[in-house]
Amino acid sequence: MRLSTFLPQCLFAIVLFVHGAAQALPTYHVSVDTTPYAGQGLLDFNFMAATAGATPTSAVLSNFSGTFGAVFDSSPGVSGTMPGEVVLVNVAFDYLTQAVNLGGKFGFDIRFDGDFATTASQDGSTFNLTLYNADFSDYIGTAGPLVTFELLPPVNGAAGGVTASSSPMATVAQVPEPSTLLLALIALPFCALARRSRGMLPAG
Amino acid sequence: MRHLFTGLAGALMLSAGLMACGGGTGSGSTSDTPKFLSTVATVTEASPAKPVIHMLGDSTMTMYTADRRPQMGWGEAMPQFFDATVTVNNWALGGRSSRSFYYEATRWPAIRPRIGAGDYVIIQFAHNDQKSGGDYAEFGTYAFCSDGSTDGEACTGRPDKVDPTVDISEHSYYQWLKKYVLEVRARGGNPVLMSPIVRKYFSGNTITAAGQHNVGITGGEAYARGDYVAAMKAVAARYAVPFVDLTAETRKIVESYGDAAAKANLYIAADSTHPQVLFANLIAKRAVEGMKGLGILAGHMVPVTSLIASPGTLDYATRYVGMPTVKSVTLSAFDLAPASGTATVTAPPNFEVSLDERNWSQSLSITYANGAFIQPMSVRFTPTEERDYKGAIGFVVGNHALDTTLAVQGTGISSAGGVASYASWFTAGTALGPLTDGLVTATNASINGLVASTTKVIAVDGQDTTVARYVADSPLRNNNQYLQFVVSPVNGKFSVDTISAYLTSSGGSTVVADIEYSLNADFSSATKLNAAPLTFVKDTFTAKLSYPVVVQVPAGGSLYLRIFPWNSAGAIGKTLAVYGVKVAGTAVNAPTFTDATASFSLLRSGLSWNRITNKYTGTITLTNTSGRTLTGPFQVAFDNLSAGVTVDNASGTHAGAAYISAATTLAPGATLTVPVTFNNPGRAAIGYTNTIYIGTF
Repeated sequence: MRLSTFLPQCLFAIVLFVHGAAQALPTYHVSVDTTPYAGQGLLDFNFMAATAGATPTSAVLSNFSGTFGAVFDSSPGVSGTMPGEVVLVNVAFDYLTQAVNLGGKFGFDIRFDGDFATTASQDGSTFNLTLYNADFSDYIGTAGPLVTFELLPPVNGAAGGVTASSSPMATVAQVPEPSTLLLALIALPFCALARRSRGMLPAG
Repeated sequence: MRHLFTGLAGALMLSAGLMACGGGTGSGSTSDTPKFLSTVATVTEASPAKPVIHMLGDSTMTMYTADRRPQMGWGEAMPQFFDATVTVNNWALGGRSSRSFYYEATRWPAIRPRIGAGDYVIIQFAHNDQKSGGDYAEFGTYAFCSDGSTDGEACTGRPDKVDPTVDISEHSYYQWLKKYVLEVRARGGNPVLMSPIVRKYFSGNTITAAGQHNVGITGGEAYARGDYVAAMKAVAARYAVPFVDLTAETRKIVESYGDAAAKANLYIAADSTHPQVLFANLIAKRAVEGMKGLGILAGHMVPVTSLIASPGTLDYATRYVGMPTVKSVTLSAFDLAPASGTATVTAPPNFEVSLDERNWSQSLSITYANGAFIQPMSVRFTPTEERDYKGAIGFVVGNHALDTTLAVQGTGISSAGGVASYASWFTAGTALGPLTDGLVTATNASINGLVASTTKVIAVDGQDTTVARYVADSPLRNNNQYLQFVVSPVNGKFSVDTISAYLTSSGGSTVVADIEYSLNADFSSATKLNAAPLTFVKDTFTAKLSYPVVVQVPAGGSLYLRIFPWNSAGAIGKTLAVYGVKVAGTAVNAPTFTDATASFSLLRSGLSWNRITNKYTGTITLTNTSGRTLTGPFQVAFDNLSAGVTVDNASGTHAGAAYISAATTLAPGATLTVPVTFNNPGRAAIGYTNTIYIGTF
C-alpha cells in the first residue's frame, strides 16, 4: 500500500462521512416570489405533528429577507422574532402568521432540529408555508401550501428524512454547510495529488 | 285498464239541488287520527277558507295504526287530496252499522255537537248493517224495511219484523240515513252520502249482487235485506243530498283486477272486505273525484296524483351501519301521459331500487303502455354512518316529474346498542307465518294437539279483526295441546323484554289458558307468565296481555313460547281465539369484525391547518405487514382523541370512537392511505391512537 494513495483516500472518506453527517440535518433556503401580486397578504407558517406523541422537533427559521410586516397571529409556543431566529415546535402544533406586503420576493432559511429521522415512530410532521389573502378567505397564487416539508420517521425498514415540495411560486434549495465547504476545499488538493500520483506510475 | 278509470262523472249521481253544499263559517285543523273522541282536542266550525270534513263509517273507512298495515281505511287516504286548509275528521270505526253508530256514546251523540255550520259530513255504512242473529238487535238493518216493503219513508210506526220490541224504523237503513241527513242539516252542515265499497265476492269475472250490498234473506229471516245502495240513492234523491256511488266505482276497480289480483293487491289477506293501502288510496281518489264532480270543495283539492305507491312511506326504523334492509312497495300508475313510454324511478343516496332484488341501483326504468302500470318494486336501505336518513324516491314520466314521491327514511346506528327486534304471529287470520323485524328469525306457529276452528271477527283495540280460533276441549290442562312459537337471534343474542298476545275464549266463556316460555327445545325449565289460568270474556279481547320479561336468548339458541288452552267447565266445541302473539326485545349481531391492528404498520403524516376552512388534514398510511392478503373493509378507529377534537370525515362511531371506513384488499406489503380531517376549534394539540378493524361494525 502506497502512502501517496492511502492518505488521500482516507481524507476523502472522512470528507464524505462528515458531509453525510451534515446532510442528516440540512438547512434549506426557501424563496417566494410575489411580484405578480400587490397589496397585503398573510404568510402562514405552521409546523404540526401527526399527533402530540410524535418525536419532538423544532423548525428553526432564520436569515429572513423581504418586506415582512407585523405578526398577525401565532401560537404560544413560537419563540423568537423576525428578522432573527424564529422557532416552531411540531408537538405544540405551532403556527405563525405574518403580514406581508405583496409584490416582492421573500426568503428564509429553515432547518429541523430533532431526532425524528432516526427515532422509530408512527407519526410524521409537516411544515407548511401558505400565502392567504388578508382575511383568510382565499389563497393567493396557489391553492394550497407554497412549500411543504414532510418529516418522516423510519418505518418498515426505510430511513427517515425530509422531503420537500413547492409550488411554482416558490423554490426550495439545500444550503451547503460552511464546514462541508471547508472540508471539501481541504480534500480537493488531495484528490488532485492522488490523481497525479496515479498518472506517474509505470504501466504494469 | 285505462278505460276503467274514466267516465267517472257518469257514475256519480248529482241529486237535484245542492243547497247543502254552500260554504260555512269557522276554522279547523287537520286531525290525522281522530279515531276516538278523546284524541281530538277541538273541532271548530268551518269557514270557506278552512273547511271541515267529518267522516262517518265503518272499518273500511276508519284509521288504522301502522302495525295493521297493509290494512288501511279509505278515510285515511282522504287528507292528501286536499290543501292544508281542509281538516278531515275521520270518525269511522270498525264494526259499526248505521244503527250502532247512531247510539254509541262516543260516536254520533258525541260527534253531532262538533258539526259546525258549513261542515261537510260524509256518510258511508252498510257492511255491518247486514249483521244478523245475536248481532241484529244492535247492528242489523234492512235496506228499506224489515217487512219486505221498499218504501223507506213509510217504514215507521209498527213493530220491527225481526225484533218486535222496537219500532220498525229502528232497523231501517233508509231511516237511519235520513236521520243523519236531517240532523247534519239541523247543525248547518252539508251531508254527503257515499255508498259502501264492494266486497270481493266474484261470480266469474263480476262482483255478485251481495258483493254490491244487494243482500238476500239472511240468518233465517223472512225477507231479503234488500239493496242498500238503492236505499241510499233513494234518500239522496228525496232529500237532495249529494251522492257518490262508490259501490259502482269500486266494482269497476275490483273487476278490472280480477279475483286473484284483487286478493293480492286490493284486499287484505284475511278477508274480502277490508282494503289494503293501494285500494284505500284508489277509493279515496274516486271519492274526491266524485266530490269534485259535485262541486264540493273543488277549490281546495290538490292535483290528483296519477301514481300511487303502496305503502306511501317506507320507514326502515333503526338499522345497523352497513346492513342493507329491503322493503317492498307496489307502484300503481294510471292516466299517464304519454300513454306509453318509460317511467324513471330515482332514489336518494343510501337507498337503492330494484325490480328483481338482484340488480340494484339508484335509478331504474319501468316501461309501460296504455297509460298505466302496476309494478312491484324493492327498495334497499344501507346506512353508511350513524345518523338519520330522510328522502324521497321520485318518479319522472315523459320528462315530467310527478308530484307523487315515495318517502323513505331510516336511521343508521352502531350495532353496539342492539336493534329493536320482534317476531309476531297470528296477525292475519289463520296464517301461521311470522312477521319479524330486526335481528331475529322465527318459524311458523305450530299447532299441537288442537283442531283449528273457523275464523271469527273480534274487535282488536276497537277495530273488527278476523282472528284464528282453536278448539279447546280438554277439561284439564293437557301438556300435549298447545300453540308453539319459536324465535331465535340471527347470529348474536336476543334480549327479550316483552311477550304479548290477544287471547280470549270464543263460543263460550269457559276456555282458559296458560302461557309459558322456555329456552329449551324440549320445553324443560319453562316459566309460566300468568299467575293463575287466564280467564276471558267471551269473544272479547278485553286488553292485550303483555308480560314484561328479562330473557337472554344466546347466539344459536331459541325462545319457545307455548299457549296451553283448555275448557275449565268441561264443555266441548269452545275455542281459544288468538291474535298478535308477539315476542319483542333487543337483538345484537355477533361481531363481524376483528381487531387487526397488529397486521399493519402505520405512518401518520403531520397535519396541515387550512386557515380558510379551519380544518386540519393529514393522511394515515397503512402497510400490510401480516405476510398475507387482507380483505377489507377496514375500519380505522380513532381512540382517545383529544377533547374538543372531532373527526370531520368519520364514517361513524364504534364503542365511542370515530372511525373511517375503507373498502379494499391489501396484498402483503401493500399500502392504503386514508385521508383524515379534524375539526379542532380550540386549536388544541391533537392526540389519539388508532385501532384497525377488519369487517363491519
